[in-house]
Amino acid sequence: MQEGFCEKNKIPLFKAHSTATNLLSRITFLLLEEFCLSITLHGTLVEVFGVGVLIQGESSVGKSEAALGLIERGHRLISDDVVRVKKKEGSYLVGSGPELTRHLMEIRGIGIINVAHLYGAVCVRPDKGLDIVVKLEEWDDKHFYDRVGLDDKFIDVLGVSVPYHVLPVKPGRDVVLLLETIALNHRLKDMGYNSAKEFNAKLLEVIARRQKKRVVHEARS
Amino acid sequence: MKLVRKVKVKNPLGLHTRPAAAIVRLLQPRKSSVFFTYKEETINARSIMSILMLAAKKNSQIVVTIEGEDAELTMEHLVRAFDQEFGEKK
Repeated sequence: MQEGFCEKNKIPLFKAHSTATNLLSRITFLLLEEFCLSITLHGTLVEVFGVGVLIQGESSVGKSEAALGLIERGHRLISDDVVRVKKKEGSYLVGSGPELTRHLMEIRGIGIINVAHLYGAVCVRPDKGLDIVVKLEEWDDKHFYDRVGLDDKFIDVLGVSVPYHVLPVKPGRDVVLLLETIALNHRLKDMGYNSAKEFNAKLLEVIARRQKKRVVHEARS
Repeated sequence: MKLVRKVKVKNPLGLHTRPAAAIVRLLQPRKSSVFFTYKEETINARSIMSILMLAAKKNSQIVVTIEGEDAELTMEHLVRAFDQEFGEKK
């Protein structure tokens, strides 16, 4: 009866075998997924020591080369050049690659390569939370780069602030190693240990102690 | 300067790897930033992978946005490449 009615009035009709509760929860989940905020970013998303790192920067600064180096060291590629970022419930970001160009990379001088075929399934994954953004930049002698790391910088992605690093590139700087270090340092911060802050606290303590000694010294004389 | 213009993919095979490479090559010496918008997706036209991702077929309309000092010249070159079907015209 329903079929006839729907056909006559040209209304789409769907049938399912699961129970109403199950079906409704699944539909809600799918709709949330489908309608969440999303944006397409230019950059390469890699998983480094379990941290989702989005490498950004001008064309030909070496994003893909850096990612390739990371893959070779056992880290994983999510997407090269085009990253679709979705804002999930609870304000966390997930990045993935477009179906068509998944696991493909374009390396200047070589061409298009399939990383999954070259290095195996272990070095790719379909999606990953976006934890930090690193911008690769050509080294500019006039620019003052972060030398201590006491102040955390953030970048806004779909209303979520994501830790942000600017990494200057020049011959002789091992970008792959630097990216690994950034990712590890991020993990360390996540665990509650901030190397720069910890050191500064220690330094302040030492200075305070010296000052106290001096006060005592001066009081005696 | 900012220019926005619609261009049509005219070659029968659509925007496949060779046209994408041609676009990237033509943009390399240009200074402006170039973006393609197709099916609500906006991508950087300097990236081969991004152009390929669009998988634009013949007759699809692509909105080209160029911003920068040599925008006019860049647009001219780009439109010509699209019109000449990236050298695939017989």
